Amino acid sequence: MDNIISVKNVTYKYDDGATSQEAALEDVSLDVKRGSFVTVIGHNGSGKSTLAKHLNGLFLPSEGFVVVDGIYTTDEEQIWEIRKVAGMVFQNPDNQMVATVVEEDVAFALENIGIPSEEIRKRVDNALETVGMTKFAKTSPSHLSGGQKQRVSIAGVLAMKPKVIIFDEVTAMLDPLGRKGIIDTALKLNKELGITIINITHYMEEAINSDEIFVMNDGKCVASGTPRELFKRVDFLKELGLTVPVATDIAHRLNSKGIEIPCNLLTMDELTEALCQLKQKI
Amino acid sequence: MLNDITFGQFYPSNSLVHKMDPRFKLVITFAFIIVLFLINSIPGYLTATVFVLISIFASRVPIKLLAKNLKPLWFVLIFMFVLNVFLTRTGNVLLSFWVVKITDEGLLRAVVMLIRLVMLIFFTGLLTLTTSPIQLTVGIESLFSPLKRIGFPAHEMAMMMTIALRFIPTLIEETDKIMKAQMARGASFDTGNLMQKAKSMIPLLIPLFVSAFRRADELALAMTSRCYRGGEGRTRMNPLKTGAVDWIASAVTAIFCGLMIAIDLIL
Repeated sequence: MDNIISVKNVTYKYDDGATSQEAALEDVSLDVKRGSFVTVIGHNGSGKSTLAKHLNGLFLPSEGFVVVDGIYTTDEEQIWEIRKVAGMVFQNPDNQMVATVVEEDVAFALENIGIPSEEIRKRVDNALETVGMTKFAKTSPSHLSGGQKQRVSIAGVLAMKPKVIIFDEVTAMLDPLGRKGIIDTALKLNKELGITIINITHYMEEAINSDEIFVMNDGKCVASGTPRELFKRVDFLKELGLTVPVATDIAHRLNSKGIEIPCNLLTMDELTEALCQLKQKI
Repeated sequence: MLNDITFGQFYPSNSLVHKMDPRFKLVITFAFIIVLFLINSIPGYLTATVFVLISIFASRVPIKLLAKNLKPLWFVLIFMFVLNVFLTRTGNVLLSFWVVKITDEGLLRAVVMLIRLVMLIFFTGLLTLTTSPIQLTVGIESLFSPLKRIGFPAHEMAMMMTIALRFIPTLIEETDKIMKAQMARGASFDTGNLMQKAKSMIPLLIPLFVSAFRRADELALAMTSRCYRGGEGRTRMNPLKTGAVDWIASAVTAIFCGLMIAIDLIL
């Protein structure tokens, strides 16, 4: 089995009376390969957060189905198994911490699934070290910055030893520095520990390093592909209200002015390289 | 201005009292308070004072820190003292002028009451200074868990206490923010009479409540995602451990309580 998560023809309607019959998700299908780093991108209200909550059974599809590591999310008996396999980190760092001490918060999930005390200690220390928060183990969460709080939240999920971690707009409330720290941590978890990462965001820069991108718009998955494939379609992305990375944008603009430069550049380094080569040709 | 409220005034240290099982500390504190209210004589209270001093010494908490707890209560203490001195009519009159009569019994009662309250404040202060809020809730949960059988929600109560403690600083910060936002738009919170002041709280309280509910909703999702499903089958990273210190402390407490009562009865 190659896909750790598959979403098949999922439609979801919010159950808030008869007024709004519009579906938050409409016929969404996507597969996430084991061990990959996947980005789901879309502007506000595109249904990406609703999609995220389907991936560990917080929401159940009105139509279609979601399979996580071989288990259907509708299987009530195994729902806790799914939540152990697929951990989730949320947007607001303040609203997902339970305890008044960092290490107690990291231990929360482990206490819930009944891990023995000594094992909890070990896993908590490990998880805090992985996210680089060891020296804050005894601090109160209210003394941490937003980025630090999010790293603690990641540690809390990491300690469960999940196979997938879903980042539900984890960086939305952080400053650029905190954002970079989180994305670096996510990449580290993916590369070093082989954990599948699903990053749900509206920042294009975060998508650069991913293996596959899914673009959400109006509750539908409208495009997918590798960053290089996708960022070539600058006009299409802009139409959806999404920004492309600055380097890609510059390359695209230069291209449209008739300057021959590859259009699938992602980083500033690549752009510099391409411009230098261009200069040598002239 | 709202930020310097520190809840649960834990004083970290490695003393023997800090290492004690919170359940024992709770029970000892409770027992001591009861005895404190049973006795009535000065020698009894001197014994109690010795006990409290020994406890403070063993906990390595600076007395200054404990004395801070008296500060907000000095008015009550003085009030009680004066009331006892002037309103006791029995006993030998020591001093008498106009309508005031000071008797030896009144003086004694006033002193006893003062020592009683100060010891009470010191001893309960010692409990919160040497026990972290987490330990305290764990202790309370464990002490109340026998009542689970008759349907008392011990785990839920402890979880609520933990979450409340966790969100106090967050909500204080938020209150501060909303206040500033409303003040920037011309609201004033400290002018006018009581009615007007109460009314001016509405634009503060409504957004605060709305946000608290939103937070609760999100927290519930986050807790579910981390496999929380009640107290059933939960383990602890730091399980409560009862050691020799706890039994020794209990024995010392028992002896002192016995002494206090005995001295009180004999003298």
